[in-house]
Amino acid sequence: MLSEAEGKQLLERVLGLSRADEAQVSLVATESGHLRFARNSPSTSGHYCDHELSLRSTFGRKSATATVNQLDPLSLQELVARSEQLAQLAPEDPERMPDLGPQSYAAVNAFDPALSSQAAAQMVAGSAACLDRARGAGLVAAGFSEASDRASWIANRRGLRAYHRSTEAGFSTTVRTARGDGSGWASGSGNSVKQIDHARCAERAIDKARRSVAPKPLAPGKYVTVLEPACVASLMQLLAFSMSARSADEGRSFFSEPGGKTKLGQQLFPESVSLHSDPAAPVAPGAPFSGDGQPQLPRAWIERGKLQNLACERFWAQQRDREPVPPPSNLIMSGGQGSLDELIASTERGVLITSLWYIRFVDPRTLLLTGLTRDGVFWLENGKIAHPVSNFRWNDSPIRVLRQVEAMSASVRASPREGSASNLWVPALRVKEFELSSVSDAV
Amino acid sequence: MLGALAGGSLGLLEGCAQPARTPAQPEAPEPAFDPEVRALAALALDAARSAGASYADVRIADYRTQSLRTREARVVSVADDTSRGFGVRVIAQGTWGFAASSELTREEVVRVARQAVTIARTNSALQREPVQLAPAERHVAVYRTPLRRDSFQVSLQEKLDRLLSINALAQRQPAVSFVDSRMTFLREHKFFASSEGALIEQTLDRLHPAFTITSVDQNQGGFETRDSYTDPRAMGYEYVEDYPWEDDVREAASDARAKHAAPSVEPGKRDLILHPTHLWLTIHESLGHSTELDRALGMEANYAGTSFLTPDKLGSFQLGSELINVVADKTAPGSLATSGYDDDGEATREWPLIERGRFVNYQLTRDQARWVHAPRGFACSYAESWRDVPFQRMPNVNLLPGPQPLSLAQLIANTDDAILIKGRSSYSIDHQRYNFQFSGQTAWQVKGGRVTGLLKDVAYQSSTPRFWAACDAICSRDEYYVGGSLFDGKGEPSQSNAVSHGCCPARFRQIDVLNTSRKA
Repeated sequence: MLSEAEGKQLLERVLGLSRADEAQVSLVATESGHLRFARNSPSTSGHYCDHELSLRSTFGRKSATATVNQLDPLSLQELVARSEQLAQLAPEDPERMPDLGPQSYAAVNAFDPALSSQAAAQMVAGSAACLDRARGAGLVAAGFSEASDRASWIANRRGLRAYHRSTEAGFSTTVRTARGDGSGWASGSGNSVKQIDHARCAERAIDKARRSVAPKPLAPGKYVTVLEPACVASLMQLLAFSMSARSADEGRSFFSEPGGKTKLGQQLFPESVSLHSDPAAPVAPGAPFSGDGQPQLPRAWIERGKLQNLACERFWAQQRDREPVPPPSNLIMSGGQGSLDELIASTERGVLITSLWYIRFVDPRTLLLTGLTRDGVFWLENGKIAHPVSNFRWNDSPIRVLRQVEAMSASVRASPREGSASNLWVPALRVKEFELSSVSDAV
Repeated sequence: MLGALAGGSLGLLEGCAQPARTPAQPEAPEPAFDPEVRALAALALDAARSAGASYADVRIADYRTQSLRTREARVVSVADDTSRGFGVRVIAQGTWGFAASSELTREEVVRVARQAVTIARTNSALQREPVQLAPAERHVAVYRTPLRRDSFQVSLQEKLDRLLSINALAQRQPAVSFVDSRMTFLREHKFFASSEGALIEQTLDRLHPAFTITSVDQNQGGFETRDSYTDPRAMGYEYVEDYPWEDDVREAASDARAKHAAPSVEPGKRDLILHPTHLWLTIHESLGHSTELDRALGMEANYAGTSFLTPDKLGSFQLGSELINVVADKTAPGSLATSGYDDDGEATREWPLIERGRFVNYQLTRDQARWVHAPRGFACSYAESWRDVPFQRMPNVNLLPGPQPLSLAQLIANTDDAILIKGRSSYSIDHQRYNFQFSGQTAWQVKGGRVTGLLKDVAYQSSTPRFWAACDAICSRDEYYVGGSLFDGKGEPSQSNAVSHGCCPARFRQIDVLNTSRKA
């Protein structure tokens, strides 16, 4: 891994080679290792070191970006030449904004200096803890353990200098019965492998696999539903992805209103719903700057149910006389009191869903999504899991889910089952209704 | 699992009109490989063997991606990326190990090869059954995607002019509010060498041009979109040159405008006619993924999922009507998963997956063959980049044409009441590949043997065996069309695989159609 100083020197060398009117160079250095297992045995594993060195060159209002992963002097010259050649060929961009000047960024502590030397052994030990428990229970485990160390730099002619280094670790396991008639899943994430309780993940997945055998029929329909934090993470990530000010202003978003207006400022959800981002949040830190070098500031997206912010690119912000707002680098949803188990205990009747899968937009006008439940769906009765039910296809939207919130657990760190983000801090939710559209025969 | 990008085509294109059976190019006696690359590969293999590997391979590869994005009269971004590096894969103590680096020096090659062996040895403590490779022929060969015009030799100006002319035409159409258009060009160049003596150099080219037209009703507050019916292809720039852009832009603008006033579909059981610009994705999700052996065995249980087609069903399970004949293929020119050799160094081929509705074969690699008592793999190994581990990935999976002459026009004329769906839109399927839900770019009411108008808010749900059993008509060979995606995701860390699916229009009886409109 390049040191901070080595990365800075490299960026200065690229800027020194540039002849463009403006030049912004960014570098990402990554070292990452992983271990996969399936059928109670390792399958594939790997380790890589890589770099991504990008240069955006601008002549007047013409710009282009080239990227290389080789850092030798010849490659740097080629990078500059290609970026400048493409920029000169590109037409003028009327929306081209000047590069940013010097910025100040939040101090973010998301780095474990011991990770690179200890992760490989920790991943093997954590996976072994999971495999031992699954084998001991007569069950079949598959899973994935990953640890990465990533450093990012940005520099430009106008004096912007940014640097951030973070480590990240994730673990997930799916435990199935030998006959394939039961399945459970659990995951953990953090900024070091040490933060993950592999044994606890294994035990939760094993418990769900055992409990999910012999589901009782449940007709498709709308039910009171407890969505575990991983489900909420999936929905909030997709909601955040949709929160674009320009799309709303242009009339092509759920957040649009007739006549070129938007839903900004509207009370869309109950007062219990608040969604923020803050890169320095110790529970789930994010990058302190966006890809173009804008500072990530603490920001309310939904405050006590009211829509407070939509992401707004710099050009559009200038046009509309607003502050530019980069998309968030983490998501922090305010939760309630108590654990998931306590939320279940307070539920008279309803469905408990462990994770959501293969989620896709159906209708961007309403943010209607479709997806499946997976690896643990149960019927709750009098505050307890009464029995398993089958998997379902669902058709619902994060908007409707947030409008239907009845109760929340305390927030925890969670990852969407699809996607790589691991820095969401979200509660489990109980919602008045969630639309289970049809039965899935999958186990 | 398909990534959320890519598009749906109007007509047939050269090289894609027939389900081809072209074998890999004949092997030359000894191609002139780059001596420096060959020496580094030999060094990696020697270092791995010396460290205790019983098998080793190395891929030294470089990738180039050019992405252009525009909206209306503006070029939003011009990006050109290259990535170069190598990955060493070994078997040591019966366990796979893999390590990779972007630093192509002798010292780093030796370090990484040894690291791959160390990883394998460490993980072998958890291994229960040693990895075994089925026999494979040794190949010394060169392969290149057949193309007429190299996309990377086409000037930026020419490409941007094309995109901006698409946008300008779209903006001249009534009720078009916005248009964005884009082109992606990819080149994968890799040298493979193995401890079994394989030496293979391949250059694979792919591209995907596309546009999206949006029509906003500012008074009512609604908006409608229509994507182009383009698909990614393993071709050169000739795909862009031959595509009927003007027709598609005019039609897309008309469709987006008409959707505002189109009636919302009445839910219930309906007959469907699925156009190949749409049907390819249904094939991909329900038949392509369910016939992957790694899923069936549980190797993907934690992420992509398993399959309802368990090994006990091989050779006996009736997966669909007798009209359903599906082949796996990695040789058809123009199709995205086509190559001369896979990333295990095996020569690519074509083989049946489903014959007369019966499930007869899996997709598999060398290290999986023994699980189903197969004598060899089917050359399905692929890694997205030099830094990724190769594993079993989907070949092109094609639905063969119907046996009797039948055009789409005749099929429509023979249908009393149905919905015709074109283009890809929303798609989702469960982790065992049973329950799916799809929608298209456009849905058309068919009444009394003719298309009577657009419908909106249409999606259909079904379960894979039930859906394919309901197929009662497939058009004939002259309607054959190849769709596909650059972003088929599987594995952890997730890797993308580019894959195509050829098919003809087909009819499915009494499928559940739902109405997707909701109050905002």
